[in-house]
Amino acid sequence: MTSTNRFRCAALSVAKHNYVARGVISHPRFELTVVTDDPDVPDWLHERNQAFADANQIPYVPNVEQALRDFDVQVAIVSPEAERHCDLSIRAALAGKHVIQDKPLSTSRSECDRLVATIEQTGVRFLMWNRNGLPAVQRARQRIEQGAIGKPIAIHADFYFAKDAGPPKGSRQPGYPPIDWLAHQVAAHVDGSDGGLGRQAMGELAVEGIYPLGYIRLLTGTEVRRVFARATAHFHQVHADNHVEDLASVTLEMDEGLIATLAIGRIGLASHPSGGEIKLHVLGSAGAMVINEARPDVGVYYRNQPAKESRQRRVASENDFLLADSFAQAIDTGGPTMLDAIAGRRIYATFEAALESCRTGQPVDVT
Amino acid sequence: MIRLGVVGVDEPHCRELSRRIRGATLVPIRQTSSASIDPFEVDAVVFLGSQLPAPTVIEHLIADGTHVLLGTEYIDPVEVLEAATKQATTGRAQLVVTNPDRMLPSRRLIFDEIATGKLGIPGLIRIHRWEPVDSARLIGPGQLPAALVRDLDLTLWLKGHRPNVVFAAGRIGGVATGDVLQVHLGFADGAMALIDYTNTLPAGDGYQSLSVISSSGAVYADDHSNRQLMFRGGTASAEATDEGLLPIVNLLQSFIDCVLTDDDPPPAVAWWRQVHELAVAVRQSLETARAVPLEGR
Repeated sequence: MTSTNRFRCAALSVAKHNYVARGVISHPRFELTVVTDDPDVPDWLHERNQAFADANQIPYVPNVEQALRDFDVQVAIVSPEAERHCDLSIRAALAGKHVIQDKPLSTSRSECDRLVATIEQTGVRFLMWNRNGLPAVQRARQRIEQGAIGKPIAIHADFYFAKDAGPPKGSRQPGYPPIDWLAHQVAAHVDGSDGGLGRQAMGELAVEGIYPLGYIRLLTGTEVRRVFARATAHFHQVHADNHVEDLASVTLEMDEGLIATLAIGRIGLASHPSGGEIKLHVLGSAGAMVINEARPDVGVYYRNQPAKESRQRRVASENDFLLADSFAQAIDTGGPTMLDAIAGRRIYATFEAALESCRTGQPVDVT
Repeated sequence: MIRLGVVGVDEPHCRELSRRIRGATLVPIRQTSSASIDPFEVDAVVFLGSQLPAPTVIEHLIADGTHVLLGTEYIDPVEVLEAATKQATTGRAQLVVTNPDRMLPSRRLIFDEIATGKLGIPGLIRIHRWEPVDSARLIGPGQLPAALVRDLDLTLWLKGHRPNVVFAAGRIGGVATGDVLQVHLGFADGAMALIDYTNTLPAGDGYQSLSVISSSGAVYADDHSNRQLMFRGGTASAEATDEGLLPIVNLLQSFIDCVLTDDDPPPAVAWWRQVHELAVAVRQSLETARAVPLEGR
């Protein structure tokens, strides 16, 4: 019989993505009971936490351990600045709470390792929020599992976000100071053009790469062993000033001779009418498939349409439900989640190796 | 009006091409031996498709003052091309070597849009080309699939200069297991290219996709978007709306115009030497599993 007991959730910081918390509680088995954070976070973050708490008519408690204890929470939804991701997740796990965490996993390998060890030690369930539940991706998975194209031998992901990120590259006047990463991201939150939120600047590989690499893991079930990569700040001044990439390409050599590639970028609003081209090309031993990740969608066009409004609107996505539902099942059964801490750590290592490859000009082993 | 011999196109197609061409009468030619092409019957000859003429055929044609168009990836060896070009330059014939893929209306549009500057600086060129199993044909000193060599040319053409690093992965399995290749190029200005090639598809349609992500815009040409649905019970099938005869029409017309106006043909030797070096670097990277630096711009 299917379990119907509900899980009480705490949102541990909603620094950037309150969509994770909203996604989780869209499932009837999850309810949000409290928003919490550390007391010494900056004022802008307290304000965001408070606003989210108010919108959901729940308390904001600026003391993480107290909130987890006093509100009888079973699930922590973690979405602070990137540097604090693992720390908050680890503290929640040590308190015996299951954890759903926003991307990226971390900004440091040691934090990833500490998280993996803690999850194993505590036995709680851990989910990296991802997009593997999108209908097109699920359909691709289903057809591959049915053997429609034979055994996958190559897979190629295009993952472009057609968003701006402040002034274009080359627009800063000589002598002007470089754009401060965190200040830019905090200010850009107003119009949704913020990127990786944290003190440390993050390129698109680290910020968004979890999604396409999540697809590749889902569809192939194999590990990346070696990567060759190129990356550049091609579009945005904030990326150029902070020496992180907004465009990258990665060749991935995987187990069983499988080859994959990833083209990823925050390519500017003008570069696509509907948020960005996101596609998967999967070559199998007995066929191949080309998948548009945005389908199904509906075209919406009208006079004076704002430039930022997507012309093709995605519909019928159950990504939030499927992620939350599988997480509930994982809690019920002690089974695996759709993207666990070990997978997240592996993805982190892949991007770390990719950035090393960019520096050395040679392929680099993923360890 | 010139008489243009066409090798590699059957008669019905030749008739269709004739209706679309200005300044020439097309004469289909079945054989490619020098004896079978009468220089008194044609003013120029175009070679299309995968069957390249022997070097002696080109030599004889040019010696007779017959203009020659090679609509192919003619790089093996470059020295043959170099000698023929010298011969043509000193004589009164023109020798043109053009990758026919450049004449696809979609590729010309992309090239033209980049050339206007409105897209900004190309940052990432992404090509997928999947071919059916029966299309395997290795060419040149790199012994790479012919279509991949054409894509290397196309990438250089769109980017405008050569890369400074090449990395390749995959396998060249020939007819037995097919080729699955991934070529990754880096350019000195930070730009990059990814070329995915295979000839392992089941017999039938192939697939192509080309996108260019530039600093202030992007272009996407994808067979995925150009498919029409067919319903005949069960799962619907998707049939291609391809670019028809226009690639060949464009190729022939530009050559005819070049001959009629006596314009200098585009430089072939230096360009194809560049493509040749890139193909060799791809092969070297495949064999060593290392990235190969090139002298880039």
